[in-house]
Amino acid sequence: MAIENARKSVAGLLNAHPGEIFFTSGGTESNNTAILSAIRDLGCTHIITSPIEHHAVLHTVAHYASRKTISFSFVKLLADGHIDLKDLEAQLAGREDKCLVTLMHANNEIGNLLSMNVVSALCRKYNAVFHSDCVQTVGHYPIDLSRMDIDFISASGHKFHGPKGVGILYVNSNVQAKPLLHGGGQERNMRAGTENLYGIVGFARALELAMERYEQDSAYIKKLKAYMTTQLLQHLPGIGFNGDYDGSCLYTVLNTSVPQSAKSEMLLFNLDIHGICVSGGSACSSGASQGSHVINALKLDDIGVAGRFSFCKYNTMQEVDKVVEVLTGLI
Amino acid sequence: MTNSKRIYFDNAATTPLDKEVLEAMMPTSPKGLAILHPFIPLAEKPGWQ
Ligand SMILES: Cc1ncc(COP(=O)(O)O)c(C=O)c1O
Repeated sequence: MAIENARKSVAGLLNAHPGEIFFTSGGTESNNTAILSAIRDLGCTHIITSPIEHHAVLHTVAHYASRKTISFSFVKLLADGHIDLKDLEAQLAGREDKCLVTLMHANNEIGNLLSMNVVSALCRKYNAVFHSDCVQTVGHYPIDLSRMDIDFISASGHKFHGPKGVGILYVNSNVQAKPLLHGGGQERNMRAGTENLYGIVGFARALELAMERYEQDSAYIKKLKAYMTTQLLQHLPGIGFNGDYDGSCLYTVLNTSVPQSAKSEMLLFNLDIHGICVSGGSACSSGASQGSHVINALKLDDIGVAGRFSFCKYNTMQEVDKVVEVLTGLI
Repeated sequence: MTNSKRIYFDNAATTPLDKEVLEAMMPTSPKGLAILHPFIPLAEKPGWQ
């Protein structure tokens, strides 16, 4: 009962059918399931993705491509980090084999948003399967799946004040998908294993609250981001921003770039010492010392030290002031 | 919610759990989960697990 109520609620909020919502352990599992299903069940033999996807997509694509039965290609990026839609169309038009297009709705490091309807129309035109990692947008934007012609989307509870270790995979009712995990008949045979009941109930409640408060919370967070942007520009000459930060971008993410120097190399470490928690690159694999694959893929002429500041409704203007003050002292 | 000494600007990595979400997940809370005992009506059981 509790699980079915949660499913109904989530489906209602995303304007999908309850039968299209499957609970998983999170974004990673949902991405893996969608990609495997597109290859195994829907006959895709080529994957078009981007070099700035989350590793939950990139490593999965690389894993299946290593078997040589499928191939993949990266779509070109524009200078601001957006997907080059002309290149996407050219790639789709040039292929005879069935393609999976897997492109994230919003990039978790630079925040750039994808034109979902344009990509979806291209996928339909060329008979490609479309999956989108919506982990950074579900719970942060109203999503109407009835108006978004898409085969799979992935979402994760802990990105919008829900519990960790639970997510969803949306599978369009026109798609005949099979599971990643085999065993019991849970999730209508789509995801074996005793369900994470507490997580599922928490996921649904978090999405309900996020959507109920969307107008006020998003307006507040937008103000925080705008305030931080202007304060940084005012106090830190030479600062730049990665991605389309003041355009088609998440209101929750501001990716800064400061010129390389002995001081700035240690920026994240020094911020941490001052009690400020930010991320340099994708924090989902925190601890990794290599540079961010997203920033590297942007091929910037002038690579600065990147810092991702990402906000929520609990942050305050005073915190922004404090961070700007500390940053000014550190650089 | 944010710890007064630390500033958390890493919400794209993970966000703090909302109190109301936790309440909904708590078996003891009046607003919480209605069924937590394994002795659930037969009709709702998914079969052999
Ligand atoms: C864009 C994106 N996709 C996928 C994931 C992985 O989701 P999960 O942690 O729920 O496995 C993350 C971060 O965790 C993410 O930011």
